[in-house]
Amino acid sequence: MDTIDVSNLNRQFLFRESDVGKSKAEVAAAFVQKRVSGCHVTPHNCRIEDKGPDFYRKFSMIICGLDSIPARRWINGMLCDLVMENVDGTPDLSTIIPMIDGGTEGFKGNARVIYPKMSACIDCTIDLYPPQVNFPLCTIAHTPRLPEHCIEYIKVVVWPEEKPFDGASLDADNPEHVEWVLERALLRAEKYNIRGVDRRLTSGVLKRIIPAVASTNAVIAASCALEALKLATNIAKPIDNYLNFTQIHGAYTSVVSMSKDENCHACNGGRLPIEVTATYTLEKLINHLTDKYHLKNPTLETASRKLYCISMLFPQLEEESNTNLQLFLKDIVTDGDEILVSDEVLARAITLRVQFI
Amino acid sequence: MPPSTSFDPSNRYDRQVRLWGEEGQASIGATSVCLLATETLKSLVLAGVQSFFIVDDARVEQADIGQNFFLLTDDIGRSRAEATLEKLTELNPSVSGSASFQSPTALAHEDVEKLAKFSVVVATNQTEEIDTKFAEVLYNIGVPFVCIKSYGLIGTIRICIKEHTIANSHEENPRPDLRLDAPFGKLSEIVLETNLQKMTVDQLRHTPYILLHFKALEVFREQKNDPTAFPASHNDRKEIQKILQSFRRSSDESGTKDSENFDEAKTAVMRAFQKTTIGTSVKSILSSPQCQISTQPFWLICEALRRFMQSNNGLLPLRGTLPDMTSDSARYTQLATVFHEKALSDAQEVLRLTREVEKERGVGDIISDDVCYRFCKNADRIRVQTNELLDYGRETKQIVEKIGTLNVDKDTREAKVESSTWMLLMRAVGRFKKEKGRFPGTNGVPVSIDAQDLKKRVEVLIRESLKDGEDPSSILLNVTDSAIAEMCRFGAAELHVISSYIGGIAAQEIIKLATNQYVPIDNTFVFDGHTQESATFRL
Repeated sequence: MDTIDVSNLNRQFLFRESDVGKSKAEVAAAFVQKRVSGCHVTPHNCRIEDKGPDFYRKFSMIICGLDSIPARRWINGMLCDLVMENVDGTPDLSTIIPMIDGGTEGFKGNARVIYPKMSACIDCTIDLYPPQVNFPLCTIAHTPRLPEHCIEYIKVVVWPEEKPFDGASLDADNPEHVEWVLERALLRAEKYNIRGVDRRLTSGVLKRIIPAVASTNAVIAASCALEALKLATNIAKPIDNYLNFTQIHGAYTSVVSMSKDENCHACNGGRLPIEVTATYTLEKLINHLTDKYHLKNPTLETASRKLYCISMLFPQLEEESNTNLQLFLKDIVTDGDEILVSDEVLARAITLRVQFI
Repeated sequence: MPPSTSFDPSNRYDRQVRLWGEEGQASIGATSVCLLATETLKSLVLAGVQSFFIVDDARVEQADIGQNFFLLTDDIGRSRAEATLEKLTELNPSVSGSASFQSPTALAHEDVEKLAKFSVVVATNQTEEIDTKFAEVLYNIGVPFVCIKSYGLIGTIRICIKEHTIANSHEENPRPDLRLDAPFGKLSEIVLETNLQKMTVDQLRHTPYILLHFKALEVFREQKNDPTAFPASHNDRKEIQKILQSFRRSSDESGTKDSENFDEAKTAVMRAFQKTTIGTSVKSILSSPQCQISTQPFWLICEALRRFMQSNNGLLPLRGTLPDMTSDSARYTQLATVFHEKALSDAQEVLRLTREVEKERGVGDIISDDVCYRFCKNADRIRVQTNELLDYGRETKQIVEKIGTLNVDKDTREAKVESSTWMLLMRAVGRFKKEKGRFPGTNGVPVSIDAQDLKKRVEVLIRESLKDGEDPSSILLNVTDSAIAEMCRFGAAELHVISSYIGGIAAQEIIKLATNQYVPIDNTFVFDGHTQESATFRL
């Protein structure tokens, strides 16, 4: 769904200056189609979530060059769900669609091959992704010391208070918005005697920009394409199963074999048992789940009631949710009951079958 | 409001300037590349080099279309250099390109002086004779030469340069430069003014850990009854951690001694309590004869650095960046400011000395304030790489030696071909081509026949590398028949994925060479597409 930005041009050989503002999918498809005779490329200018199982089932493999972890988890969940089972419970191999995933950051990158439900998937190895670093609010509000703290303060405190631009939400792609934040961040930095606030850093913090160069992208794209070629033609055995690449000090590649997680919710079709003791509280469960599945703001419910839900859409649930945190699970559910866990980062909810031990 | 579609050219390089800075971008923008290759070029044009020059005497053939994204069916029959040039200049209007329909051999023999004006020269899949000729000419005029091979599923890069200097290695996680053993004036003053006992608990818990370290060091020295004592062993550092623990106080409300700054202080002890010494690589750079004579910018500053150290108790200029640490704003920024100011004044002194050196050597004011300041900030991590002239004969010997040291059993050997074995096979292919005028597995000759011929060349190469009377059979054992057959199966095919992979890496290496940032491959890189594993050899 993305459109071409001028800052994409340093690493994209399919886009030209005159393409800025156009759909990435459409420009890339038209370009490849023109350059490579006999090749059919169909652009779909939409979100990956807009397509359903019937769409994804049509392909022999899926190659991902996604820019976020939730997007990877979504497509990974979709491909896991497409795997059918034989009568004996084993995966029906003819329904497995291999997924090739690549990602880069600066001079580092990785590429991997996933056979959904057969080998380690995105969610089996979710701990490979570092958790997003957020500055504590008390630091940015009371004891800022880094230029980033000044910028974050304007973003999370001053903008919502002053509601500039007729109450518009902060759009990091809008130069006027960036300028507004920059001006105030500079004043705050001056007040605290902090050096280093400038336009590049401001846009970097606001957009959470990840640096990127053409060469690393060329290497990782080639690495993914090579694996696709192996899958399609059997010229060699695909990697098993995760490639690391870095080119800061010399050039270095290594392939490691990541293991499946027996408790992966994606591989288990979203249904998992969970063993808890009598003194387990709801809060402890939520902390455990947030940590294990990298959740952001989970909602928990049983068949009969909402247990925990913090959402602007349901403000009336907040108080009850917070009270419920201290409850023991044994007072909420009985052995064998199911708890449904949903979260914005999950492609679909996880159903936990509670077992008291 | 829809996303801005306005075109601001300064944003084109935003995502990479965040890595190598405006100074890196400026170096790239002043780089001119001569290429006997194209796949490397796309990443360089996108990165914004000043200019490129393609040398290619071939005409576009059907086979090129499949392996070169920058050629169209309509281009068949045209000069390959010109056709590629057109498509590549489209990628970035600020880059100027030109092409020559000259043969690489002619260029190397007739127009050698032409090569001196390039920042770097790149050759892909040229013969060993052409490689050797270019390497020799370029080695002597100090122009880096990047020699690339893309053959079937194997790719190699050899970087040939007599001497490469690195001003900013971008080392990940460098040890912080805190000067706990040698505090400078302003820092000592702040430490002296700090009294942990007189602080409120809240102030104590917002004291940056560097001050806690200094205070712990004071106690350590009292305990040792030695005013200059400094932790030298793991146990000493454990001692410091214990002292830090004794500084903790609990507040009335919480009743616990938990505190983030103390946790940070404890964790940082092992890395922070290290003597401010100079690494062996920097030491050898500063004692190099180049310091005494060279008029190259890098060496001019190195000589200034050497003089700076002589009058500064053997210490390098302060890096001046204080690591982030939990603190109230006032004390962190106060410390950050004194570190920054000290770094500036150290760099100022180095600049003064550089001017001295420049005058002595009869060169103008080459080094700018900025260059000197950045150099000083990274002075403890500067590097120099030196290499011998590319010599296929000598290097094949080294490769054979390396294979001789492999100690793998039959199953391992069959399961995975070692990088050094691929290297030897690449040399054998070169020999095959030289002697038979074609590559193994081509011209419809059965692979089984060419495999025997290729194996003979492998044997010859091994024999040539060994001393008289040495037995080649144990080395030959490591070059399995299946690896030889694989080499023939390639049939000299240049797979686009491999060229693209190797071209991407080579492009980044060229950027390293042009910016004097990061550490280039030293000096031979081998990529095996079967396993996607790679290895680096210093030949």
